[in-house]
Amino acid sequence: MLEEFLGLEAVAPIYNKGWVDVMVDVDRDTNGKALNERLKAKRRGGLPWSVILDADGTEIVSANAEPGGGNIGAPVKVEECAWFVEMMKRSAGDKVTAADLKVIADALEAYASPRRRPRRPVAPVKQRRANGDG
Amino acid sequence: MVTLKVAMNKPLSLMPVALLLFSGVTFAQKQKAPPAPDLAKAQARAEMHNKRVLVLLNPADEDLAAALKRNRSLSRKLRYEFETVSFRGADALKKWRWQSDASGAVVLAADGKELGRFTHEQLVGDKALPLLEPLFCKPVDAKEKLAAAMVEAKKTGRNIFIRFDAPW
Repeated sequence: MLEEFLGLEAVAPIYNKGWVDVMVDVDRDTNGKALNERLKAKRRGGLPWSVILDADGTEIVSANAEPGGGNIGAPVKVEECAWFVEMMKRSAGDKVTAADLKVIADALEAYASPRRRPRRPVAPVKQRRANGDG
Repeated sequence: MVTLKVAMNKPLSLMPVALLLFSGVTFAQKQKAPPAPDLAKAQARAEMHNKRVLVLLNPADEDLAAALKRNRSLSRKLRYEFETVSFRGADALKKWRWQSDASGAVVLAADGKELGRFTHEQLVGDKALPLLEPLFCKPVDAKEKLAAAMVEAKKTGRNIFIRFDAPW
């Protein structure tokens, strides 16, 4: 899903301007699992997981939302999308402008919102309590 | 001059040459035509994930994809090693120069180069995997990918976005 989003016509040119894309298959790539374990260390969450490094290999930001949050995986929920945009902001460098980041944020919202599950309706009793009706 | 005179006197004599030239042009145009959108997507995904493309060719009443999914010795490997795209109907079979009335599969490299053709019969049971295995992509080293990305990032002044995932 993230791959599809990053390949969108509006997003791909900006993404390629600011970031070198590396896809690691932990099952099929030699040393894929080892690299995942080394970079992720003891942080929570499964796959997909992503991390952004500088050109020297030092971590800038990861898919584990801060502070102390879980892995956003392929971002769909509002808070996951917000953290993804934060990841892009923190690692944008000088080639990606604020306008570019806005394009990414807007495109992600347009892409993710139809994929969000509708929130479950509040149970009637809880609703009454919330309204202070007893 | 003499040749031109002859040619002008006998325009019909030039017809075979003209037809050859015309067919050559149309053939070249066909060669340059971009792949169907589904196939192009499958090729792009195959390039990204170091996989092959499995083109399934189905006559109207067959579903080779469903049959392959039911093959327990094969289905997982297919998901791991191939991006699959299905085409149905006589036109598709003709386009892929498929000579049989039964379904079959064509294996392509990510760049579209054809690597092998298999009949449905060949893809049944335990004999399928030994036939397909030699066509799998060689594994790539994740550490080498990262090292190459670091070189590229330094050269172009970018950062590195690493995505970890699995085919399951």
